[in-house]
Amino acid sequence: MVEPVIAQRQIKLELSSQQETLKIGHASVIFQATVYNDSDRFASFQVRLLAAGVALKTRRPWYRLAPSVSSKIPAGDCTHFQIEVFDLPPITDQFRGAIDLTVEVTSRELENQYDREDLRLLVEGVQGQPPSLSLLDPLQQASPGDRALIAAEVHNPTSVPMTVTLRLTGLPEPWFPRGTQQTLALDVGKPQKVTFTCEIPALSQAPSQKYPLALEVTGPFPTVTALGEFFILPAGSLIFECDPLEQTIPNFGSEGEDLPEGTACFTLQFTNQSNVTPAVQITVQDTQPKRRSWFWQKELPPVESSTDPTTWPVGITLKELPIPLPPGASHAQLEIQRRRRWLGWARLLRFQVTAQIPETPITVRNETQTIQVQVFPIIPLWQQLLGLFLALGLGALTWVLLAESGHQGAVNSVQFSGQGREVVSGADDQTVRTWPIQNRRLQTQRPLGKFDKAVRVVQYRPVENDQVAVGFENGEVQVINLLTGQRSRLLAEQDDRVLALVFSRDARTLYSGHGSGLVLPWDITRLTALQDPPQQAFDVGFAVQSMAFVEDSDSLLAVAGRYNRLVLVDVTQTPKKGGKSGAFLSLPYPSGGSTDYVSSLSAAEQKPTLVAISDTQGRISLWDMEACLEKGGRCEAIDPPWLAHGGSPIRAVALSGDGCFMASAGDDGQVKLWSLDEQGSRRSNASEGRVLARLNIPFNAVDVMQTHDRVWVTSGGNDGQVRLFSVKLEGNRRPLNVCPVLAGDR
Amino acid sequence: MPDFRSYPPLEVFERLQARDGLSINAERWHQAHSYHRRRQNFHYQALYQPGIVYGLGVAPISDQPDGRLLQIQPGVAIDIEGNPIVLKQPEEFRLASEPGEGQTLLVYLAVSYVDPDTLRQSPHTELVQETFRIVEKLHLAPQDVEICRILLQAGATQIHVPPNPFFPGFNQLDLRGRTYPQPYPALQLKVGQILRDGTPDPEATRGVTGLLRSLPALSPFLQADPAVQTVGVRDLYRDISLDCQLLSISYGLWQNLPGPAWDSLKRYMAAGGVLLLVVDFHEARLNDLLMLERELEAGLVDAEKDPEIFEQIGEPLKQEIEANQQAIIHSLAELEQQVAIGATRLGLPLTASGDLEPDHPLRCQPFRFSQFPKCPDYPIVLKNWGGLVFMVGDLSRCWGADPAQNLSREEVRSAQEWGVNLLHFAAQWWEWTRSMQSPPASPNGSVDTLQRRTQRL
Repeated sequence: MVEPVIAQRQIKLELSSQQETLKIGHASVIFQATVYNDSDRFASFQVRLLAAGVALKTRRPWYRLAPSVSSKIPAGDCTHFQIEVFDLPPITDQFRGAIDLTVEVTSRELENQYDREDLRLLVEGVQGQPPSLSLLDPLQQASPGDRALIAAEVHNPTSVPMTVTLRLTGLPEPWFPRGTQQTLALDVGKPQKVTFTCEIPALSQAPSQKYPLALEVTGPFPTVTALGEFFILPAGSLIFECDPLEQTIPNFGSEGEDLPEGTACFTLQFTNQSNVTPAVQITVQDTQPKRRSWFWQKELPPVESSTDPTTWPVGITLKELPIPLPPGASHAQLEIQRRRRWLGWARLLRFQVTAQIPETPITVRNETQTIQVQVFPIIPLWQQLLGLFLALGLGALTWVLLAESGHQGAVNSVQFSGQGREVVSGADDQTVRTWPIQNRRLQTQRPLGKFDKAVRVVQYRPVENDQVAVGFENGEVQVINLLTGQRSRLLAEQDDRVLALVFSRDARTLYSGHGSGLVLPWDITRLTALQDPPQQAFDVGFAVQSMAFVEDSDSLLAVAGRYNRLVLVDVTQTPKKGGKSGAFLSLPYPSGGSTDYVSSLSAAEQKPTLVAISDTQGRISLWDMEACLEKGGRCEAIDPPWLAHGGSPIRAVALSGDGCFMASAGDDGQVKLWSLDEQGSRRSNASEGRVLARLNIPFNAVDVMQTHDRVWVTSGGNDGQVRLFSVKLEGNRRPLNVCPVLAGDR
Repeated sequence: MPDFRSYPPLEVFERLQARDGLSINAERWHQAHSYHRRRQNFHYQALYQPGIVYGLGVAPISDQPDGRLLQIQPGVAIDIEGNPIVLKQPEEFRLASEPGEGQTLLVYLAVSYVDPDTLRQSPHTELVQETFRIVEKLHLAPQDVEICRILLQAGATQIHVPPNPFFPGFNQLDLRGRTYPQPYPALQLKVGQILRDGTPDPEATRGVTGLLRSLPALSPFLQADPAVQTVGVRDLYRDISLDCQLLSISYGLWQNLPGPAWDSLKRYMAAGGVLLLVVDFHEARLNDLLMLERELEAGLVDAEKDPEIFEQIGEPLKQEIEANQQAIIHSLAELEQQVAIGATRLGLPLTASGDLEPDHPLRCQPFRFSQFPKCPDYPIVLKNWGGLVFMVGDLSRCWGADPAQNLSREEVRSAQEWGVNLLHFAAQWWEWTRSMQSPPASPNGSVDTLQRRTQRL
């Protein structure tokens, strides 16, 4: 016997209740749905709630599932759904107080399988039909101070009379002397008219605006509201004033009188006597009469500044303008900023300030005000005049002072004249100047000559002092007659610069030392305008820096220069042609490298065997040549080399005629005077020398001279200045052959 | 970060007493085996958080009409009780939720463990499978292991893969809520902030939120709820339950707290809560003094470089610094007197100095501080009386690290490290204070369920 096969349901749904009550607006309905998976596979389940007559198109939610929405569970498992109905189902049929709901479970995995359970939903709290309501004039208007009637019509559409309460909101309650609420017994059929009396107060309490009106009818039915609008019209006026009407720039008595820019502040006062808070528009116009144009100025096309009120003249700002303008008094600041001229006289500026309220019927009283600003120059007029006179005086003075000045370039050579009346100097500015000494000062004179190349060395011709020899950068030597101004050019090889010039004692021969190592003897007994180089030349083999005769006879010339070389040349002997003059006598001077030079060499005129030597390593030494010339070779230093200028290169030394004083100058910016004793060595109590000048610029040249009561030193430096120093000597009467002492050294 | 903390049940284990001659039936066999299953669950619950071990990815299935069909990849997860959830093959799941017109809806997709004993099955089956279920939910239950969440928007139905998984948009898969098994932290806490009104204000709580976000990296043994509880002043006298362990209040609110609010705070502190009172420098009128101090000290440092100048102005400068420091101390003392009025109402007389000793936990646990961090310009001042921490200088501005503030990494890090000290202090204070109080009476019976034993942090 075969048992009948009953198709077993694979989905089983159980609900926690069969009937629920929904109280609209109070509480939602919650019930449980339990779904059993009685199939043989893993399956997902969805729950849906259906109501008879629900418009399926609507998407308004009326129930929700929480917390689980959908669940995929194994065979034999169950899942719980919590269903919450929170609103009425959107039914189209006439509502009757109860709805039949159906809970449906479906599964994607189990096709054609579903289960349904029914649930009855009772609904409470549904109300009767409300009356209809309309405002007679939904868009009403009135002015402040008016009395207005707000009217409405109520109609009871049902078949029973009812009592309703009407309430008007939107306008302030105190405006309604009889209140905003009325209770009314509504008869059946005929529409009934209701009025509310509104007394609108005066200006300030009734701001002009649109007030939304709402009229509500309440009773045993859903509340009905009719909406409208009440517009209170604008009224009143605005008073406009400017304070003060005239200002100055700068504001005298306050800070900033000297600033090149100044600001004039005006207070704009508004008194709003209206029921609106308008947006005031301020315009400022420059009413300055057009500046008179001078005959050389082009006639400019008129700038159309006055036509557009929104473009203000430059430099005018309006601050703190309240927008919108509150009722009562309020202020704004108008600032006019103007650049003050340095010179000239005060200007008067005029502006027209206009206040306007566009798009309202409110009038502005005194709407245009004219304000004035006086702009004074930064420098007062009396100071300007005073300054003008001062400037004229100052200009005249500079003209006088600047007419004659010193050198414009580094001074390379200085020398006292034999009488000590004058100093000659040569400089990089291609000039040679003479400086007469008056009252212990150097007097300026016009340059002796202007050349086309820098002057390296300049030397008075001894004996007469009526000529100077000038050595140039390019190798040329010129001899200038100081009386006639005639110039003789001694042409050596081009570009072999002249670094040293020495005259023989009889002033018949001029020796020039050159950068190539040549020493040329020029015969100057008969000077012609152009003189060719001498037939003979001595070649010492190093760049010559300095030369001096070291004996009474004009025969032994000391030549010093690069590599710290120092040789004695016998100029009476004829130099060998083409070769170095081998008969030169060398001095045991410490030799140096290619950048080391003996920078200067000086022999005392009356004691010519006393020689001072300086070099670029900063050393000075004193030598007595007499001993070594007699002994035939070996020379000894009286004062061995010492660092005289703190190690800075020394550019020049000079001995006074009697050999009692030595001056030195160096790159450290110092000029020193050294006191020597009769033997020619430094005095023990003045071994550091006396500093005559201490500057920041290197000195290149120095010379020293002794008169009966003073020692004179002149110097030339990179700043183009030629300086003169003098130091008094101790005591007036001195025995001969005893070196004097500087005042203060003893 | 899981939202739940599970505790093993308060239950005594019973074992089958085996002896010779005891006959085995189904009930005894079951008893013997369930003992081991429960022991294993007990361990897992005590030690580890639930989460996804591997796999369990989610992908939308393409080429289908409404685009709501998702495929869940095979993988393994462990639930909060330690039960294994094993998906052996890919499972399809169709999302059913639809938000109402103009609304959004956050739904979770989760898996959970199914014990075969609970299934309606034929009693004759010899082997049963421990299986699982996949649920789409609006709220997760403790047993659920989240595999993804989606913020649904009304209208569109298609589910997408987000272009940037860190910032998924509407109707895009959001995997940021997935958790992974790991040990439970030793301490937990929840932070609250008293505001004028109780509505959450991201601007006001930005600082604390920033600190809490950095917490997992800075201090893994301490766990905090990433959401800050906001408490309105009105809420305080409605006697709401303050379920946080650290509550911060600004000085402005503290001065104007109404009477009933003090009682509420007093109860909170008696229960073990820590109250953080924050006084900003300008509220303490210290801005000028501190600025002066800084300038004077900078001047002193400058002067010390030149002995000549130092000789001239060193001594007057030092005197001025001294006077300024006195003024600061004076201002702080005045402030403390003001605070003492309120503290008395909390039952906390400020008799002690309140200074932090070198071994005070706020100074050394877990980060050691010799000088307190600066925020943003001056170092904060700290005092502590019982459960009240008094902070002059609003450090929370540096916790949030607003990019507009342009703070250096060191400033943010040291401020946050001290913040960790504060959180640690509050959590530990609460933990130990609670442990020393008699337990409140259990409201209804002793029904032991997983729901009751899990605690939402």
